[in-house]
Amino acid sequence: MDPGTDGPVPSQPPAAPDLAILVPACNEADALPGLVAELRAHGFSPAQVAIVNDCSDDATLAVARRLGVATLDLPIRLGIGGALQAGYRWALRNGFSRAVQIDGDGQHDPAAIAGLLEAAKTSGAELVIGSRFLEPARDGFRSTPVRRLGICWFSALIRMLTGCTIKDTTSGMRLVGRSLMVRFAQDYPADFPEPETLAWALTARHAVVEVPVIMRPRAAGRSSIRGWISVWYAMKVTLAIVFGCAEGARDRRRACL
Amino acid sequence: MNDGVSFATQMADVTLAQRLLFGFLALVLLAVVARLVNRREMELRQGLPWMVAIMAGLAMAAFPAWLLAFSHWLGFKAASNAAMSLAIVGLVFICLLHSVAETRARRDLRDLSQRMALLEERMGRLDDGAVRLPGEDGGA
Repeated sequence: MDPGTDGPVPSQPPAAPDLAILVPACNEADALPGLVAELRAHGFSPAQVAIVNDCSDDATLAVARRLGVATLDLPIRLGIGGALQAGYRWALRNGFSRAVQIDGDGQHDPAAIAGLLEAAKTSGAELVIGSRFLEPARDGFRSTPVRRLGICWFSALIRMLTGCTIKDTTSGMRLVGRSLMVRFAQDYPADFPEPETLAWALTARHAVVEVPVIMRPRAAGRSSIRGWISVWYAMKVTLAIVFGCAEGARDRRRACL
Repeated sequence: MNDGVSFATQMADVTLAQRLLFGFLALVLLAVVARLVNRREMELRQGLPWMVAIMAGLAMAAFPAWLLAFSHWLGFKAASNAAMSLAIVGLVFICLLHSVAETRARRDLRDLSQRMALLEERMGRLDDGAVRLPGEDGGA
């Protein structure tokens, strides 16, 4: 039985038909069927979902194709940034006006998408971040202590540079409006993109809000950020935030001219 | 910085054998670069900085007085220090050029990969009949 194709099929029209759901996946063959089944259970049509296979070594590609969703197969590994950018390009080409990005490892609960949509609707924000650190989401999985320390540092740096407080700067669960989709389809950081794009969006004066979401431990696979890569990650992201702010300020000045 | 070693003394220290060896190595390197460019294994724009650096090395081998005068002017104690410093600056410059070239190549590769993935996805849907090309009405 394939839970991705045999899950409950909604009888009502698809939820938020203008919403694309982008799932970057690298070696996530075990987690994808469950994720797609949950998306279907929450009323999202397979036509709204794009799985971007980032040159996986396992059966991710075959699994994704079997699930009946749009499958983008990258011929070389581009990393999370390149995979998401491909997803944004797909969403724009197919006429979607909003996109939500969720990880392919099963950590993000598709039930939270409704909260992101509601927050975008009520606040008019172009970027809605699903946060692990807002009440009442603090009961869920919130990463390791070392990583939380890093997230605190990124949050402090962004607050210092932009004056805005964002608790979960590295959350991969985000809803993006059309103007940001266009920007991300043109230019998106190659690796560790979340804090950099957040810094850019805040400095360029795009409305950003956070909503609480409960995240789960990984269903399968393991994080790419571990060991010495964590040190590299912290250094790279710190610099990327500074450059992201500089770029955002430059874009804002251009927009004012 | 110059400790007073005379120009003539330093000139005398550069032996003919050293000049010949240095000139020979520069010519070999130039031949290798020219061959790579000729066989299209290196673009001329990538090879040009190397050729300029090699030609500068050849000029130093042919006319060591130039290097001595230049190093004297810069205040180096020994001409070899000046030559080494110039070589390091040249190599750093070439490395920077290559970093820029690599960044551009990676960006282009990323763009091409994404385009290919998007086209494949669209082709797949065309094969499945989910997408119609302009002019296709679906009738027989």
